[in-house]
Amino acid sequence: MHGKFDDLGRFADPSLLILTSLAGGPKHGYAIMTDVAAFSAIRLEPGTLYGALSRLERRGWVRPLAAAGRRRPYEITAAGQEILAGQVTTMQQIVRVARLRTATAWGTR
Amino acid sequence: MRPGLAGRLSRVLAGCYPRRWRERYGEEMLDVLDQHHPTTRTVASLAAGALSAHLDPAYRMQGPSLARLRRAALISAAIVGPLVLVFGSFLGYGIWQNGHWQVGSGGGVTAMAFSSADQHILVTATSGSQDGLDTLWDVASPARPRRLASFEGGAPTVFAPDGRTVATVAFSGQPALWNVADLRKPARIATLRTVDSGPLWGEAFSPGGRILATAYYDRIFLWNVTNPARPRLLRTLAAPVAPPWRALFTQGDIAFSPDGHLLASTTGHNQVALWNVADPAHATRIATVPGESGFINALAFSPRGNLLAGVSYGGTVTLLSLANPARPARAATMQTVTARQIAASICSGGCGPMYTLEFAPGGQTLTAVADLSPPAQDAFSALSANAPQPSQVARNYAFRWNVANPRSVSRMAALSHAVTISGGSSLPLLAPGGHTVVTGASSGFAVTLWALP
Repeated sequence: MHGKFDDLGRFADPSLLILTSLAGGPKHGYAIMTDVAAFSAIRLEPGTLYGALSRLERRGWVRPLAAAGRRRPYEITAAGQEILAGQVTTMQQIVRVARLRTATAWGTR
Repeated sequence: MRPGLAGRLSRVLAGCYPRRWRERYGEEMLDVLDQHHPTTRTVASLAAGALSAHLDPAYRMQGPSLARLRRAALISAAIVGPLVLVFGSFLGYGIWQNGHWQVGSGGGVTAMAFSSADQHILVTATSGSQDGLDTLWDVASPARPRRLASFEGGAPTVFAPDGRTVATVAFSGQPALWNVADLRKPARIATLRTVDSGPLWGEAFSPGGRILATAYYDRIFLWNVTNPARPRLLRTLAAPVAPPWRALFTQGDIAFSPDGHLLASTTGHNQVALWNVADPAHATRIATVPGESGFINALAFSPRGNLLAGVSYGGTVTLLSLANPARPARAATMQTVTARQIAASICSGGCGPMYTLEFAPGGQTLTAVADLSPPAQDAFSALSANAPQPSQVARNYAFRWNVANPRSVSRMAALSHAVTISGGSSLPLLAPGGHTVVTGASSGFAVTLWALP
């Protein structure tokens, strides 16, 4: 499953941010950008955002909703939630190891 | 990078994504760009995004690979471009000169029109030592245009929307209809006889092809051409004034709105006349709109019919909002060539700048081409001289604006292109869609076809 996520290549990181943002509810493009900036301080650029969104949509991890004017909201799908959960587990593992090792290296433990 | 420049570049790059991608995400991404503050990073992300979308088989364009190469070249240019463009806000696209050919000898091109049914079919009208002639061309391969047929004609010349009829002018000076269903065997169908009204300067078919407007010195006639073999005069409109001293005609001096309910005509002044022709038999003038100084010509309606664009002699494009057609409101003005450029190009024979305008099919952009001919040659002496004319170089200037929001029009591109002509002035025409420019010389019959991205 993680292999599937890694296929996103340079869009893997933005995709994780987008899935995290959509996990909180459907949002349109600009709302995703502001939300991501708010929780991660990472500024996604439109080219990256739509590069990632189009890939997520093709993989069936997000789904477009009816457009309101020029704005089209996206929502995370069940498959997307599963992928996100898998990525979060991997990241928790990384965080746990990183905490341990940095703490050891710095001699605080 | 300046924010304005980054914004413009971002929009240009948004237009560089593959068509299939744009159809799906284009609008919403532009919406995001509208709210975003574009920076160099935005430009870089869009350039990278457009490139990777082009490499993505899911969005690969079905069109010819040449078009894809051009697009890729454009994207690459856009990536390298910012380094150069920091020094100026003048953004030039690449140009590809596609074709240059002679349509005859002795005399010059007086009118041109593309078939709206097949934009590879071009008709050129020429005047010569004898009389006018129309020639049909297949320009699918611009470097090797194929001459299909010639028939009696001259300026003005227009195709009916179905591409099966051409309205031109007969030797008698009256409008004539030709059946060109078989492009190799044009056949005259009818001559539209009216009382003598002076020279015919404009013709336009309604979008449905049922009405033909023919414009004279002081009158516009509306004909029912549902059956082209039996044209019926429906209405005579007293036109304010004819265009002054125009030796050449542009296709847009008289134009129907996309729904066929409005007719716009140039007045020869800094005005545009708008006519309600919803019921052609009872057509009336509903507005006379003042524009910039100098007569307005090259009129073009936006595909949705909400905007009317025209260019003044001085090179100013006026965008009129037709929310209320009886009270058109000026939405924006944009400058093409400058007064100094025009002054430097005027020749003693009365030739001046020639313009053409075309909206993109979606109405998002407006493209203008201004033709400035060299002043060295006098137009009349060029026409009368039998000796071969020395070559001159006319300059075509193309401009494109994003007019999706008429209240905040932004210029996307400007470029200039040299066209070799043998004398006199030259006549520019944009193909439907605004991506191909054809320039015809008023002397020497040369026609040059070049592509805009």
